[in-house]
Amino acid sequence: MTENKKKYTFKEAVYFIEILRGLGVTIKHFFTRRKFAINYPEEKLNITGNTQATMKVMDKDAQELIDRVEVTMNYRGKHALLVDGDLGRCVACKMCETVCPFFAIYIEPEESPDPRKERSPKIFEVDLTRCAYCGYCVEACPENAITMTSFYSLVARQRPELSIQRKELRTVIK
Amino acid sequence: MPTVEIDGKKITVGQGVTVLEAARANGIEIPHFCYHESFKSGGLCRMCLVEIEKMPKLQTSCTTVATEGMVVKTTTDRVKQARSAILEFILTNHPLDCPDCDQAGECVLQEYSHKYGPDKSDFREPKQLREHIQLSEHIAYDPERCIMCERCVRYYRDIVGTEELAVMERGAHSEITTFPGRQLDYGYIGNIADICPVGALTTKDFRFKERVYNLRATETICPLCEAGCTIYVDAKKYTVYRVRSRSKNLTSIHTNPNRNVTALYPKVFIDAILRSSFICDDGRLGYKKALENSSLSGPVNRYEPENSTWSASIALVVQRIKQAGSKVGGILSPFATNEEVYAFLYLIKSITAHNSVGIMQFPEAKEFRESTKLKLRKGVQAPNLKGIEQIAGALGIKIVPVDEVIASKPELLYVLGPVFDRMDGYTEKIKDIQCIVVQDFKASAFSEKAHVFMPGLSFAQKDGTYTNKDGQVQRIRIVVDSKGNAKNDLDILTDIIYNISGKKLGSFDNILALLVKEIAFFNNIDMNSLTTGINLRKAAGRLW
Repeated sequence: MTENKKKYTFKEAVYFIEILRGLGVTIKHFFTRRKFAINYPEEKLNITGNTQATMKVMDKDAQELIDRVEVTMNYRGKHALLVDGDLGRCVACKMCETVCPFFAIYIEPEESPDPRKERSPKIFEVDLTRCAYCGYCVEACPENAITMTSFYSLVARQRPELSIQRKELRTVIK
Repeated sequence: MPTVEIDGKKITVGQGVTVLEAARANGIEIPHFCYHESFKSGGLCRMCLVEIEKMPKLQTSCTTVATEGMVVKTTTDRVKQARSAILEFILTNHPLDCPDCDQAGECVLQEYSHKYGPDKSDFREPKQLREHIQLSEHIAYDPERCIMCERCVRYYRDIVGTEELAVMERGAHSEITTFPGRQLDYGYIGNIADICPVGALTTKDFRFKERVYNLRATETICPLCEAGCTIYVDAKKYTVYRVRSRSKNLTSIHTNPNRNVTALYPKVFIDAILRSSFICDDGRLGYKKALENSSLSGPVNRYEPENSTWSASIALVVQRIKQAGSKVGGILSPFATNEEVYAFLYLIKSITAHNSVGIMQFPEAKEFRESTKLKLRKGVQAPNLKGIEQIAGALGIKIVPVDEVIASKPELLYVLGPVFDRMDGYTEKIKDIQCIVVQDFKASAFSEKAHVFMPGLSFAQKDGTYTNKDGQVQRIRIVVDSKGNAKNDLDILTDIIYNISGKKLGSFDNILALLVKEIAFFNNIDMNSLTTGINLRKAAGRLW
């Protein structure tokens, strides 16, 4: 065992110099004040800026969505139903309701008042307490109507408040 | 009888049978849109093209009659290319919005596109945009989706006989319309939504309600008249969404060697296909009145309202029946199943002396229009009058009108089965009766007067058999489970009988076996056909 014992240099053996070096690092940080913690909720992280440059833009609307509605390609937060001008994109086809593994989406279709499309959702409800933010609904949507935003602060006093309706989901992009 | 060879398989068929029918009967699939077993072939869609030896061009198999020595090939490259080209042509103007379309999941075009279609189109021109055409208040018609197979036109020409629909305009502008200013008359409209192979014609009743692939189809019988049409009831969880016709397997009729080429559609054949392929609009759209429409919270006991439990109500009814003794009057609804009728008549017979039972009068099921060739409705607007007559006759019980039962001044009046509004006229006359027991699946003006009300189940929530006007015993099945605190009518009756006489009648199966054993009329029923095939998962399983 004694053979393996490390030989200390003079500087290390004195020990005091190493203490001063450590204190030097502390004092340097004391003056530069570079911090990593974010004091939520006073400060908020900018998720929108996190978009990975390497991520392929799959959808022609993607860049516009990223710019205008704070949709990120890599963060899945609260859902949004996109509206082009006055016309909602959703056609209440129930693809997202069908694909949802957690039964978080409930849709009731109705005859669309707008002649440009046949059907629209009368009720579109996303139960955020059930949702696992897997993003299957976004993939299943044939009209690119449902998408996920960077909105992550989902706090409520009661459970029903987290069941969000079509009007709250509505997001105008053009 | 000619023998043909289709894909190397030797098939012997009857005179006048087409190649398509011969192939279908032997399990060889030839895709088709316009052919339908119920009416004459049109040769319109060109989807059923096959190669026949010694014929230079491809032939439409739905119009080519099979003849001796014919060699047919359905899977050659020429045929495949033709099918692919036809599908590409049909899709030039058919929108590719399957997620929007109600037919998605049971659409023939969707299915064939996956199986036989090209995965691309050479057409660069934009698809036509068309306005909806109002054919009727019950039917939505979208010309964009229409593929001009003319099944609906031929249905109105050959089956209904009123020729209300026609194709107007030409080429890509063709559309199905009625005479200007007219609409389709109520009666047999709904069938055109069933026979439409694509989503062009849909019923407004079911429009946008639910995706068809989420629905579970159950084979059952339409209860709204004595004809006993076979239907599918499509449901999800507790909700019934639609009723559609259920075709029987017609291949045996198609390949019947007795079929004559000169009379392509003999009377027997027409009757069989009509009865199985089509249903009337009352059955298709009016089913809601025969379903539970109010949430029943359990039995209502007006003597002791706070003690309205099932055990207390049944004990009370038993005690009252014992008190009344022979002065019990029974009134029966023709909506009750054969088994319920048997149990109820057993109860009446074992305790009353006068051996008679009152039957509610239901209105006659009239044809909607005299001008139609298609006449499906029979008897009264209730399913099981014939069954009651047979069982009561066998048990030696006399059938009398309701007035006679009430006039005999019973101490206790037991009313079984869906009452609807049929007893509303008697609410004044029954004031003297000390105890009125009503068993019904929904509350009515009459049941408000009842001293004991016991909620039962609707036709879609229970097992049973009905006997139709022709004397066929037909099976109804559980389509949806009951939601509230209701109880099976049969269980209520057998409970009461057990508590009175100690006799155990058992469940539906036991009573059906009893009926077969004891009553000569039920001896010849085919138990296998009645009991097999419960709750088939056949959302898209139409017989095309």
